[in-house]
Amino acid sequence: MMNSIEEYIQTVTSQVHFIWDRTAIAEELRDHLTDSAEALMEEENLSAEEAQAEAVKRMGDGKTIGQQFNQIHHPVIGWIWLITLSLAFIAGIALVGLTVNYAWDIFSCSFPVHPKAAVKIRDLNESVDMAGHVVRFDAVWEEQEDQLILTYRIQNKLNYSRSGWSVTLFQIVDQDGNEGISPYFEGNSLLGSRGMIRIERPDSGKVKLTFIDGQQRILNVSEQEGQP
Amino acid sequence: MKRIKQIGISLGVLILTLFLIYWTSGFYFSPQACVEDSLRGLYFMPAEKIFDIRTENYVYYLYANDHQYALHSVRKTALFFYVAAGGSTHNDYPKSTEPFDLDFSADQVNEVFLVHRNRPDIAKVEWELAEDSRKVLLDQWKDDFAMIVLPRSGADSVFWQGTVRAYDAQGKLVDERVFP
Repeated sequence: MMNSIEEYIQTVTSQVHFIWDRTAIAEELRDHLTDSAEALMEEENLSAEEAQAEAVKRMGDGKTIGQQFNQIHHPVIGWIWLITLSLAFIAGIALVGLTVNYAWDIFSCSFPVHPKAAVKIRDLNESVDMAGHVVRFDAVWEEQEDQLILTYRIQNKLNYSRSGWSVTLFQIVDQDGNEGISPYFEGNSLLGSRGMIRIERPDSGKVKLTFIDGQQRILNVSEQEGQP
Repeated sequence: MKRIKQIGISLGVLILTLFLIYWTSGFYFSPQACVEDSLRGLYFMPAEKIFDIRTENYVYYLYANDHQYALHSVRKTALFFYVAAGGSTHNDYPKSTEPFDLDFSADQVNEVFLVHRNRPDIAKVEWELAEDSRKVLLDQWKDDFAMIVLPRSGADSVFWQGTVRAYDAQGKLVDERVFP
C-alpha cells in the first residue's frame, strides 16, 4: 500500500505529458516532501503518517501542481530537446570518427612508405607543387636487378577541390624513350595518400615525369653514392 | 531555459557535423560551384562554360577549353547539389578530321545529346535513332557546340545505332554517318 507521499507524486507526475521528465520530477518531489515530513515530525511531534499527510497537504492540490509542472516541462520542447540531443550524440560520434580518420591520414602520410624486401638506393626528396596536390617523391628502392620502386606521398589541397576524383596525376617515361606508365591515383582519401610505383630500371638512370598540369621533372633513379 | 540552451548546443553540433560531411564530400549550395569544383579536381580548369541546361532535379553542364570538353550532370538533393555524373574527356576535339563529332550521356531521367561541328557551314544535325525512329535535332550553336537534353525514352535504345545527318543552312546534306 502506497504512502501518501507516493500517491501524491503519482497524481502530480500523471499530469506531465513528457514522460521522460517524470522520474526527475518524482525524485525532486520525493526529496522535498520527505524533508518536509521529517521537519514536521521533529517540530510538531507528529507520527510519520501524520507528518507525510501534512506535508502533502501543505504542498497543494496534486493535479494543479502537476499541470504547472507540465507547463514548465512542456512536451513539445521536451521532444525537441530529446530528438536534437539524440541526433547530436550520433553526430558527435561521427565527428569523433571523422577526426580520428583524418588524424590518422595526416599521421600515416607523415612517414614515407618502406617497401618490404627492397633496398633503398637513393633518397629523392623531390616535391612537385600542383594546384590541387603536392606530390613528394621520397626515395628509390631496388627490389630486383631490373626492378625499381619509387615511393611517394600525395597531399590533397582541400581549398582547391573536394570532388574526390581518381586521376592520373603524372606519367613516367624513362629517358631511354621506352613506353612509360601512368599510375592511377584513387581519390578515396580526403587528405592525402602514399604508395609506391614499380618501374623498370632505365639504362640512363633517369626517368621523366610529366604531370597532369603540364609540369615536368627529371628524376635521377640511379644508385646514390654512399647509400648502404 | 537550460533546455533551450541544450537544444541550441545540440543543433550547433548537428549543423557543424553536417557541414563538415557535406563540405568534405564536395556538396555545394550552387550547382555551378559544384561542377567547377569537380572540374578542378580533374585538372580541367581553366575552361569556359558553354551550356547549362536545367531540368527538374538536374543541371547539365558543358565546359570546354582549347583541347577538350567535359560533360557533367549535377543533381539536387534537399538544399545541396552534387555531381551525379561526369568526367573529363581528353578528346583533342580540335584535331578531329570528321565534319562533326558526337557525344552522349544518359541517367535515369534524361538523355544528353552533344555535337561539335568542325565545319562552320553545318547548320543543323539530325540524329535518327534506329530503335524507335526518334529524331533529335540540334541546331542551337555556341562555340560550335550544340547540346540538347531530352527525357529518357522508354525504348531500351542503344545510342550508337542510328543515322546522323548534318545539313547546311540551305538544307543540303553535308555529311551522313550510319552506326550499325
